[in-house]
Amino acid sequence: MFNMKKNSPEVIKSSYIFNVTKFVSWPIDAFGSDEAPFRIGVFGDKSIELALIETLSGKKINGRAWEVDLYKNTNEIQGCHLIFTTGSNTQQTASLIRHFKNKHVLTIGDNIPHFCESGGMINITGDVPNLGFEISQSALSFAKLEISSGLLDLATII
Amino acid sequence: MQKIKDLSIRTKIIFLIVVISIINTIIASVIYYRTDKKIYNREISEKLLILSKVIGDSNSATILFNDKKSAKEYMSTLKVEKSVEKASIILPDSSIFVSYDKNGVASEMNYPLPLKTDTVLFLAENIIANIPVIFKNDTTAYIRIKYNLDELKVKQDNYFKVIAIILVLTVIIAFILAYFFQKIITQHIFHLHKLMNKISSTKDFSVRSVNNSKDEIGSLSTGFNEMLEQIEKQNNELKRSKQMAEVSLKAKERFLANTTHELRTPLSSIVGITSLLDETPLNDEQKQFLKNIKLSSDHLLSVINDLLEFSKLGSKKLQFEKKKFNIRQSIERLYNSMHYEFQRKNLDFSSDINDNIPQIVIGDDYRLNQIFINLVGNALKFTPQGSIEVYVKKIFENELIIDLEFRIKDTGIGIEKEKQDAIFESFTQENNGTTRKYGGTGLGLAITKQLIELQGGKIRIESEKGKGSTFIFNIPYSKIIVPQVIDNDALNAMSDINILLVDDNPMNLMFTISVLKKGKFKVETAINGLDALKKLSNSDFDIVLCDLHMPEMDGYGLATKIRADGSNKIKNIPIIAVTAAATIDEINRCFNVGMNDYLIKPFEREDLISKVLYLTKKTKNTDND
Repeated sequence: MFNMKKNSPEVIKSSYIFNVTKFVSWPIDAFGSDEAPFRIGVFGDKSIELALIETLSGKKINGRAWEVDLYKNTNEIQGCHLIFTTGSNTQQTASLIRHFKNKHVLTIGDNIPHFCESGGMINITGDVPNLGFEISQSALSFAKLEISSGLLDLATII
Repeated sequence: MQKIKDLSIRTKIIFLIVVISIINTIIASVIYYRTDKKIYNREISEKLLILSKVIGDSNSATILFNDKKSAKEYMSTLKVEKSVEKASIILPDSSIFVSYDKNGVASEMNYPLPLKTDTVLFLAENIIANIPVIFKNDTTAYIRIKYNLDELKVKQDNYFKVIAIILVLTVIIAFILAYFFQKIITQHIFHLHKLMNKISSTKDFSVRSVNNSKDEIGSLSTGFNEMLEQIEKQNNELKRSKQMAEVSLKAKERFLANTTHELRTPLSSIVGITSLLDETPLNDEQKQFLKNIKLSSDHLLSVINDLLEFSKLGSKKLQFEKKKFNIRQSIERLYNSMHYEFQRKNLDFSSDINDNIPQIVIGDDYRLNQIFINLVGNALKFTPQGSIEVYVKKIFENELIIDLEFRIKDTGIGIEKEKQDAIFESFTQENNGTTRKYGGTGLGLAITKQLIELQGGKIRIESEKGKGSTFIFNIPYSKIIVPQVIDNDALNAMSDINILLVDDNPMNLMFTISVLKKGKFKVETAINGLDALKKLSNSDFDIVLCDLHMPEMDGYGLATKIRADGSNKIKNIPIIAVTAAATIDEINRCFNVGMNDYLIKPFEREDLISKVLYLTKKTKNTDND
């Protein structure tokens, strides 16, 4: 198996992503059934995918099993609940945001400038260990996602 | 404990009620305090739990995202909770995430609490809570809070103040209520008690306790009433029995007196005719018969005389004379009258009269003789051989009275100790055989005892079976005032004596005035008590001579008024009663109302003058002292 360093930025970010899911609730119809898994889509490096799998192993997200998939193309994405994008490709990010704008999908950007301004929901800012958040409440509410005030208090609201 | 026992029922009831109230209040207070403490502890536990939850919930994001700055800000909001001394968020790996201190001093909380317990610990000085923060089913951290007891202390202070006030109020209210309620119980007891006292003092058993209650005091009251009823009934029965007994006793005495009188008349004839018959020529046998008849009739006469005397004593009709007599002569006469008896039984007689006994005393010579005859006769009867001795000595003397003790000592058969009291009772001799052997009615000693006691004396016996008896009795006699030599010189030498003579009979007045002519007596007269009082207030007198029976105010009334005089002017003036009615009752009454002496009309001139001189001199001497 792939071996990860414990405090690597990928691992920390993975745990941030996992923790964020705890503060966000999805509408019931975002899932096909009660047993339907929570699906995470990753746009970016393989390393972050592996870190996520590592972090989530043995855990459940909001009481559901999970799946993590690595995508290269917006069109390939099917039935995800959370998209994490490292944002190396601005064009791609913009189309991604547009694509999932009203589809109950939480979009998290990895320190992408103007991510929230351009319609992204949560942007993890700063460098490890001084990480922070930017949150766009309007984007979240547009996607019918609810976010807990605990997380909002820590974040910069865009 | 004894002190409590001795308290009045009223005090006991009040004391009990107050003490019980205090105990109740204390018990209630303790229970209330403990319950309240429990409730407070639960409330504190819940409060700390909620506080921890709030802290945990608010900080779930800060913990998860390791945002210490935000966490600190959250924690600083604890400032509004003044009782929170310290608070910490501790991560599952036991490292402290953030700490809060009320005074801003960051210091570790060193309490030996296992981190992972959900506990609220109540310590002496504070309360420690250790509560896990659970977020989405995961324990993300632990909240540890140190909570001070300021609030509790204030609460306790207030509590004890309130308890103190309640206790004081309880005592006051309990006392006031007890004071009024105890009357429900005690008023009946006091009522009974008062009634009892009333009955003791008035001896009126007709009163009843009024209490209709059905409790124990009610039944006590009923019992008390029943008891009173019984007593009253018994009293009435006793009274009736006593009256009946008195009536029947009187009837008996009257019957006895009448019978003895009726017996004496024919017996006198028998005795008289026997004497006449004795003077007629008779042969020896007839003379012997006649002698026997005489002996028997003499004996019968003495028995009848005894009975008559006894019946007189019983009906209290006896009176004693106050006459001058010579004791030595009385004893001589006694011996003379019994001379033959002594000779016949070959007994010696001797008498010893103490030299300090005056020749003449005043009293009843006849009764003394009767007593002597009874006692000496008795001694003669029961003394087969030896002697009978009579001793007289003085046992008491003052200015008016000389008390003489007489002893009649024989060498006879004596009397057993156990029987000695009984022989003075009527119809009692030492034993029934005695009558058969020695004769007599058994009344002699009873009569003797009564005669002595009616004269103010007492009789007793000292005796031993077989060794003789001594009868000892005493009688107080009046002393004769030693007559002064009254010659003209003496009368001339003395100072004037002012006499007030009170009598309603002019003849008596004249006689007395004539008696007082010799000597320097100044006599004024008054015709009754009222007149005398008027004269006494107008001028000075040395002595009052007064008749007893006068109209308007008699002699007794006058003496009473004089002795009760408030001004002291005449209060101590000597008074001599001059009376023709010399019964013992009247003479006693004279002394009772405060008179100093009495004279029985017709009186001797020397008697009057010597009494007047004696009393005026005496009072004058007293005045001079």
